[in-house]
Amino acid sequence: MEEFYSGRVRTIIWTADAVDSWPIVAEQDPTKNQACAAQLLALLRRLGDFHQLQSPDQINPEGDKIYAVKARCGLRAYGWFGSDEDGRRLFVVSHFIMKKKQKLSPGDLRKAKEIRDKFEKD
Amino acid sequence: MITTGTKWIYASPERRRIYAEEEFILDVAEKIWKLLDEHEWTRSDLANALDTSRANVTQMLNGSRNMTLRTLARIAYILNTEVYVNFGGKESVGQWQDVADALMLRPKAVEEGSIHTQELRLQYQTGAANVDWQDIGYRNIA
Repeated sequence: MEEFYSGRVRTIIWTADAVDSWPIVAEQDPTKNQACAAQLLALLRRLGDFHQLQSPDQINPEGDKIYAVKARCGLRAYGWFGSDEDGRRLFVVSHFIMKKKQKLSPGDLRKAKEIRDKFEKD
Repeated sequence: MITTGTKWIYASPERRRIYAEEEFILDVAEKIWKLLDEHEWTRSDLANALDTSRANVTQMLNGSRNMTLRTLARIAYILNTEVYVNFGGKESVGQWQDVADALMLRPKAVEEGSIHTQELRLQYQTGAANVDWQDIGYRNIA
């Protein structure tokens, strides 16, 4: 687990799965110079600094309190909002994927939930 | 601790530049979305007002299509506001940038601006390259 960004509103945490999946999906970024991957990290940091993302295109509830933060190229971070024992507000990134289709696959939702369950147990 | 995501952003000057571009585009787009929300406008309403397509507005707001300054000014005019450009907001960053680059500090550390350059250099020379920004931020010896 890594603390990616400590923002004005909340802290952005990456689980081990997020850390492992980032370099793989960042390499799949189809845009020139990995601009889309940079956009996703900018979105995550903004989520640390503001209560919400204004753009309806870039954050989407996927059910069971799992959210997708979406860059324009299909690169996505799945995660959930929570808090830690010190009362800090968090957004915990479960994992990253490069998604070709618009709809979340049941496998990705299941994976995010499994990572959340494990994270909360730990 | 330098995290995977921060390392990725700071991997090269080019990467930092791209990240800075994306961060700025996102900031502008989010402010436009907020204005639209306040006016209870949809992107289709904005597209109509700009005499362009909804798809074009979507692409401008998600950064896949560049927005001209003229379009930005027009959006502000349509939404009864103005655009202010301020290049000075991060002026204090410059004097710390070289050292921060060497340390791979997050921008937030640099923006703190309460750090004496010599102190940072000293920490760097003594091998404290992995020090967290909070650790550095409060050692003000200026």
